[in-house]
Formats: sequence, C-alpha cells, structure tokens
Amino acid sequence: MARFSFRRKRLSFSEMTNRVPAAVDPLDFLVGGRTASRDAFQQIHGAIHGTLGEVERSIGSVFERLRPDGNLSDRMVLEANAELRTELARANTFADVKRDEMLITIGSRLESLFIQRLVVAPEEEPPVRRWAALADRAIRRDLPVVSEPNHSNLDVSPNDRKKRLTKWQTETDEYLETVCLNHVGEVINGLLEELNEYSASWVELVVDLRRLATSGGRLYQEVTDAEQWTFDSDDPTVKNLLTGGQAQDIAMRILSRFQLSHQDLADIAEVVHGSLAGKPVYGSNRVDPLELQELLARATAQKIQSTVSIDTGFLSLMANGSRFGEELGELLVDMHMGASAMEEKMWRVGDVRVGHVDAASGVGITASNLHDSVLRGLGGGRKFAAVEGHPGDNHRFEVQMSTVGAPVSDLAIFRDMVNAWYAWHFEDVRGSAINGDPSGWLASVSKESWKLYPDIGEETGVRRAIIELIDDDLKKLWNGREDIATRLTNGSFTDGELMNGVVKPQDKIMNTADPDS
Amino acid sequence: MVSQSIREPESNQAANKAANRMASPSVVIGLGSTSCQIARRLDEVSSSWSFADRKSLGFLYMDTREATRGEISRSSRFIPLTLPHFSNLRDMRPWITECVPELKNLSLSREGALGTLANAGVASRFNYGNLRGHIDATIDQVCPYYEGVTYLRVHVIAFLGGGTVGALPVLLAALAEARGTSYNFSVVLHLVLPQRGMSRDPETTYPLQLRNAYSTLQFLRAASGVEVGKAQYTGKDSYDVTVYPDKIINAPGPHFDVALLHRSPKDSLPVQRVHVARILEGLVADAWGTGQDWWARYHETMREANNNADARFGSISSREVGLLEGFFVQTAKQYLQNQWRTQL
Repeated sequence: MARFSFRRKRLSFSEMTNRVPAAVDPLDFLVGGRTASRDAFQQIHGAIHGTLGEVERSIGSVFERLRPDGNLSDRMVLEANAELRTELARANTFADVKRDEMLITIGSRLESLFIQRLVVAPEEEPPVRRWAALADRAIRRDLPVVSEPNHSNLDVSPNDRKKRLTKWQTETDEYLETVCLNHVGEVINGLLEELNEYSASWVELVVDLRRLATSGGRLYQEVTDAEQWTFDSDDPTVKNLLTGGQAQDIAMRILSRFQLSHQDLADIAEVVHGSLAGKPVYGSNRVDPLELQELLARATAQKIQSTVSIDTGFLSLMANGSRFGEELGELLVDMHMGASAMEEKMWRVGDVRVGHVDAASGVGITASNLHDSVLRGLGGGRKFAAVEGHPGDNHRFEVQMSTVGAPVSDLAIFRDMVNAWYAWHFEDVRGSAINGDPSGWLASVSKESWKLYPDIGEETGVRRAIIELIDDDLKKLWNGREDIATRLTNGSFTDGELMNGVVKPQDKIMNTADPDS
Repeated sequence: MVSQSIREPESNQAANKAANRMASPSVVIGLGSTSCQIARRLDEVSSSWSFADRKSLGFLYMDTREATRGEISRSSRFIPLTLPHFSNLRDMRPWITECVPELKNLSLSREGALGTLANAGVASRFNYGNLRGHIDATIDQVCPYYEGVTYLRVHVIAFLGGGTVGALPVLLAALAEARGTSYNFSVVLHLVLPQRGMSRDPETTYPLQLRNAYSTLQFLRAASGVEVGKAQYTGKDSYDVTVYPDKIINAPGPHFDVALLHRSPKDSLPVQRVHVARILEGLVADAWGTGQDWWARYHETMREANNNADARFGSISSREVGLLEGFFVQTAKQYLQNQWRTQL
C-alpha cells in the first residue's frame, strides 16, 4: 500500500532571503490600490527578514570559524555556543523593534488614510475585507530547539564534524525563520485589530457626518447662514470688507475651481494628526466628530488659501458683474471708514502724505472706470499706487497705502501732546511772570527741562534742538489750524476749540535763541 | 456675526509649531512696567513656536520697579534701573549733573507720569555697564557668531507716557555702541501712546503722560537728525552721553530704523497688552504672514520716502488677514459640507 507523507516543509531563513521582496516601503499596500493579500504578506515578511539579515551574517561567521578541516579547542566550542545564543537573542530583539515600528507606522498610516478618505471618499467602504485573508497567514509557531554541541561532539573526523555542523546550522536557520514568521504574524494581527477599529469607527462616524451635513445639521446651518460668514473683530483696525452673502458667493466660486491633490490630502491629514496631539481618529477613545470636523476645516482652509492668491486674485474674484465698479467703490468707502478706524484717531485725514496701512491690496483685471471708483472711494487726497492701463481696455489696479512715512505732526493727538507740554511749563506763570515776553518762556523751559529731557552733555545736548523743534511744532499748529479746521469740521472749527486757548496768536513764534548760550 | 478671538485656537498651535516663522533673529527689550508686560506676553505666546524660532528670540527687561522682576519668567534677563542711596554716590559728577542739577532734586516718586523722566535717565547711566553686558550677552545668545549669522533686529518697547522711558537715550546709546561690534542690527522702536481712558486719573495723570510722550517724541525726532526751522541746532543724529563712572559714550546715528506708534483699540490694559504684543509678534515673525508682508512693504516705502527722518515714524495696524482666515475656514466647511452632503 502506498504511503503518503505529509511531512511539514522545513522553514529556512536563508532560502527565504532570495524569495521575499525587499520593498522600500513595506506598508505601501495600505494606501496603494491593488496589492493582493499574498503580496502584502510577503512585503511584511521581507521587512522583518531584512532586519534579521545582520544576525544571519554574524551567525554565518560563527560557523565559518568552526570549519571541518581546522583545529578545534574546547574554548572555541564554548565561545561559539555563547555567541550563537547571543545572536539568537539579538534576532528576537531586532524583530521586536521592527514589529513595534511597523505597528506604529500602521497606526499612523491608517489614521492618515482615515482622514484623507473622510475628505475625498466618504461614501466608499473602508478597505477592510481586502486584508481579511491575511489572518490565515498569521500563524504562531513554537520556536525550534537549537542544540548545544560540546567539544566532544565536534572534535571528530572532518566528515562527521561537517555533518554535525550542518545540522546545527540548519536548526539555527529554522529558528531564525520561525522568529521572523512569528513577528510577521504579530504585525498582521496588529494590522487586523487596527482595521477592525477603523471599520467600526468609520461606520459610526459616517452616520454622524451625514447628520451634520444634511439639512438641519449643524454644519449645514453653519455654511448656509449668511450671518456665519460675516466676520468682525474686537480690533477696530480690522474691518471685514465683505457682506455675508458676498463671502458665500466668493467661496462658491473658489470651490468651483478647487481640487485637492494627493499631496494636499497627505498634508491635511498630517496637520489634523498633529493637531490631535496623540488622540486617535478611530477606535473607542477617538476624537469627537465635531472636533474632527473643525480640525479638518482648518487644515483644508490652509490648502484653499494657498491655492487662491489673495494679492493677485481675491478682489478680482468679484470683478465681474455689471455693478462691480460701484461695488468696489462702496467697498473702499467701507475700508476708509472701518479698516482704518484706529488710524483715524491718530492721524489727520487727507493730508498729502498720510494714508492708512494696508487699506487694500488687490490686483485684478477690471473695467476701465475702476480708477474713478477707487478715487471716489478713498477720497482725492490719498496717495496710493495708481491703476495701470493695460491693452484691451483692461486695467490692473493696486491700492497700497501706509502710514509709515507720515510725519509725527500728523498725529491727531499731536495737538493734545503739545498742549499738555505747554500747560505743564506755563500754566502757572503764563498770566503773571512772562507777560508775553518770549525770553521768559525760554527761561522757564530751560529751568525745568532736565525733568523731561535728561540732557545729553553740556555742549552736545539735544535741548537746544528740542526748543527748535517746539518752535516749529507750534508754528505748524498755528499755521495749520484753518486747514485742519476746514478739513475736519467743514469750517465750523473755532480758534479756541482748535488750540484750547493755550497758544495765543502772538505766542505762535518762539525765539529759539537759547538764553544759556 | 462671528467675532475673531485674539487667542489662537489650541488646535492651531500644534499645527503652527513646526512652521519656521523667523528669518532674522530678534531681541525684544521691554522698557518700563507696561512694556515689560507686553514683552512678557510675547514671551509666553512664542513658547509654542519651534525650537529654532525660540532660539532666535531673546528678551531683555528693564524697569525702575524692582517688582517687575517677579512678574517675568525667572530665566529672563532683568536690569533694575535703580540707584544706591544718594549718600553712597558722589554728587555733582558729570554723569549725574548731565541729567539733574543735583541728586537731591530727583523726585522719589517713580510712578509713571507722576515721576519725571530724569529718574530713569540717572539710573540707566548708573547701570550702563550692566545694560551693555546684558545686551551683548542676549545678542550673542540669539545670534551665535560661530553660526555665521550677524544680522538681527532689536525691538524696543516703551510706553511714552511713563517715566522709565527717560532711560531711552541711554539705551539707544548702548545699542549704538553694540552696533559697533561685529553685529549689524536694525532697531525698531515700539512706542505705546498714552490713552485718556487708561489713565488712573484722566484729569491729572493723562496730561502728564501726554507731556512725557511729547518730550520723548521730540527727543527721538531731534536724535534722528530731522531739520526744522533755521536748523541751527537740529539736523544732527549723534550725541554723547556720560555714564557711570564718568565715561563718555558717543552714540552715532541713526538710532532706529523705524518707530511705530501703537494705540490700543480699547481703553483696557489687557487689550493693550494683547494688541501690541500681537503686532510685535507679527513683526518679530518676519518670515510668516503679516510680518513678512509688512517688512516687504516697509522697505518699499522707505525706498520711496523723500524725508528719511520723518519716514522713520509710522503706525501699523492689523490687516484683514485675520478675517480672511475666518473666511477660509468657513469656505473649507462649505467644501466639507458639499462632500458629505452629496456623497453620503
């Protein structure tokens, strides 16, 4: 009767060296399209196998020293045994480290995949079933016993020693491969556990997201309510230029051209992952759907913002429609009144060299009447970069203004400062001591000046320069009063209101000759 | 309507941590209690920045109030602008008489505008050696010479209405002297304006703060070489200052590259602190967002300016960028909603 042998094929690490692939990224099958489960297994196997290659080489050198035709001492055999045990322990350690590293990578890859698919393919089933077959390959094997031959076992004829060494090496080889396959199995089990959590969380999260995004959901309300698109700030220097409805229109126009590349998706996943600071996106302890939605929105916003160049395109996105010119004019009036509200308090309005910081900056191809709209919107006195003419009746415009470059005397509180300084010096003595005598003023200023101007040297000090400046400031205030009054109050300003009665007409020019000099 | 919070959301902080914000190393010097609090605020905000950015940012605190030392982090450099008892100083020495006729003339009050600027002026002269040492050490710390970076920016914050701003001439002289070393740096003055609503006594204190603000601005204008009137005394941008113990320091100009006047959007100290610190943050982070944009625009403006002296003064405000961020987040929500509504 014929007898069939089902003898198990012996595992061999060295044989597998040429069979397993040496993939650069052994886990690329997680994000790739059509990798079969067998190939995925081989890639994981290849990664662990590669880690143990160094151990295999070290073991090879141990056996090399025990070659059959050489002399063999008791000590050599003892040392070989000890080295072999060390190398086998090292193999376990290396494989443990590689396994842990792969499990961590699997976790972060799946998290990234989870986030990316939420953005671009929320309707697709998670890729769980494809890898279910891997479970059949994750078999735990008992580690084979590796014998410990002593000197008498090996101190035999060369032929016998050769046979015994070969047997010993084969046992070692099988041990290494078993370690390798056991760790591959652990990686696969870890992967399958992660996939199960991934799958369960996905199903639950998709339900939550559907509820958020459909009519009546929180996200739905947030994006459809124009009020939510109307931003304002505590800072009065920041003025929103768009109404809620306009902002929604522009957003829709931006999104109609917006596409996320693979790299964009990977970046979004990385940003979200980083923002979570270790909190998982799937699993029992996962992040709240609302928080995840918020983080996704913030990360996606960065991508949208980087694809839309504000300086070159934001306003031009509005540059269509019959009323664009008028709308832009109105917008700039808004800027004038709002965006620069704070500077209004600080700087006088309308002087030739005074403008507002960053009131607008936009470049667009627009209609030819834009220049008029801009002028009307900003007021004629502003200095700003003009609209450049372009062929085809199109114009490129750029409005840039800055208060850098404005003289200090244009500060709106400049007058108050001079008054305060003046009052401190002269309030008590104005009526009696000086009697309109300018030299008395200077004597008074000089006497007290050390309190305000810690002087800098007897001869090289700035005190005299400061007196010259004060003279100039007072003249400016006096000469400019009508100009300011007309501009700010449409002619209704009086002398008394302007200077608060501090500076009298006859006082307007000071003699800058220093009485001390 | 959605109001933009001043504070950055925590989720954003982690995302931003890896970003490289600073192209030029910076030293931030707080002069006086108000300014030290602003600098401290920036110190706290920047703690979430990347290691490389933090390494390029140094802080130096100066105040006549010893109590300020307790309000800043323990590792920060603090220079107390204090004098030993008058009896321990030889009166009528040049470094004293240059500031005050006699030491006994000094008011003991160091309380903001109620004190005079001379207190800080004398104290900074007395502590000049300490000041120079700390400036050199801080510059060396943020800009290690062996790394080959020799350019940095120094941001000096000073509340114009206070009394400690009297130390500004000496501080600028110390910076001018430090500039004479192997480092090349530009100085940005952040001058915080007094506001009526923030004075403890608007009727009494506020006019004194305005007086201080005006005299300091006058000093800065004179020291920046502006020419006015007959230009008999104006038009020079260098000065000498005598420091303890009677050492004459020559401070060649220009003393600052730009002086920015800050005004708080609300009459509230916390708002002032946050507002100025936020603008300062933008300017320190010159490779990032608003700061990057502002510096580009600043250089453009300075190129075109026809009066260099007055062109150094200006004010800055926040851009609409803060609101645009809200817009883009909302747009992203719209995108996600579209995806989930149509595909789920």
